[in-house]
Amino acid sequence: MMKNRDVNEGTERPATRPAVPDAVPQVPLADGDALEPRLASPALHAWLDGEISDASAAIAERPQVIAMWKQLGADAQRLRRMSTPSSVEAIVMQAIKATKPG
Amino acid sequence: MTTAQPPMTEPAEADQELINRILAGESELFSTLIRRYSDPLYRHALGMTGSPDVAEDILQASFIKAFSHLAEVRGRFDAWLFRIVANGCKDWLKNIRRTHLSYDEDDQPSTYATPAEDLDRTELRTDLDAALAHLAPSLREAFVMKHVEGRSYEEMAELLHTTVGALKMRVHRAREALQALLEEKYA
Repeated sequence: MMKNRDVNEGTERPATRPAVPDAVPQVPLADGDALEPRLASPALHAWLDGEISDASAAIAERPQVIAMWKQLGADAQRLRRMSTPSSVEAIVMQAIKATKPG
Repeated sequence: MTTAQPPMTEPAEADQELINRILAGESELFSTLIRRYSDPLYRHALGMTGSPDVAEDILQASFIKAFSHLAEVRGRFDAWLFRIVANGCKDWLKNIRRTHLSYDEDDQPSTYATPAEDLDRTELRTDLDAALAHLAPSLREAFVMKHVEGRSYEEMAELLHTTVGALKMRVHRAREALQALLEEKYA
């Protein structure tokens, strides 16, 4: 169960909700690490991989979880439409002006 | 209604032709390669770092590095360039981890953004970036490539020189971790 450590320890940090729950791994998760308990169902992974339909995923997974991933997907779509600031090309071309490609 | 299109040159061949001309002295043609590939690379850097400023810096440094080593390109230029950017992102993440050892402090990606950038960020995006910061770079990379960039596992495997199975495993682990971190608030 995730708990807000600040609340539990009675510290004086603002009472706003943290961006993510506090009970997160202190060491970054590596390739071989597994999270216990396993939270996402195989159906959820299959749905996110485009292998099963929304309807099939809805049978196997909680609606709140499906809604959360849809929200994340919509946010990713927004990011996917972003383009490079035009300054990048100008700065790079200026930087390489006096050099030769190697 | 469709119109006849001229035959398309294979992208790899077109890149190689450009590279040959750049190496022969037409440096200004490098801007064509920048325009051709910068958008997906920028989105990768943005997904990996969570900061537009950092993404821009990594992209600039990567293109300059690519220009300096252009004669070393073997095979697909876009894949070679992607690896330069991807390594730049992972190096940045390693350095950030080294200088922000404890997650008890407010050391999440949103704090690297300027106030102006913050205005453009949704709460969800900020929380997702914060959650992504808890993943190992390889898990974060796999998640970003799959869900932010919308790449297929096959394409990811080609770019990262690994197997589809290994990448599926990384993406699944990333999802598990992100769900564990975000579920309390969003589900």
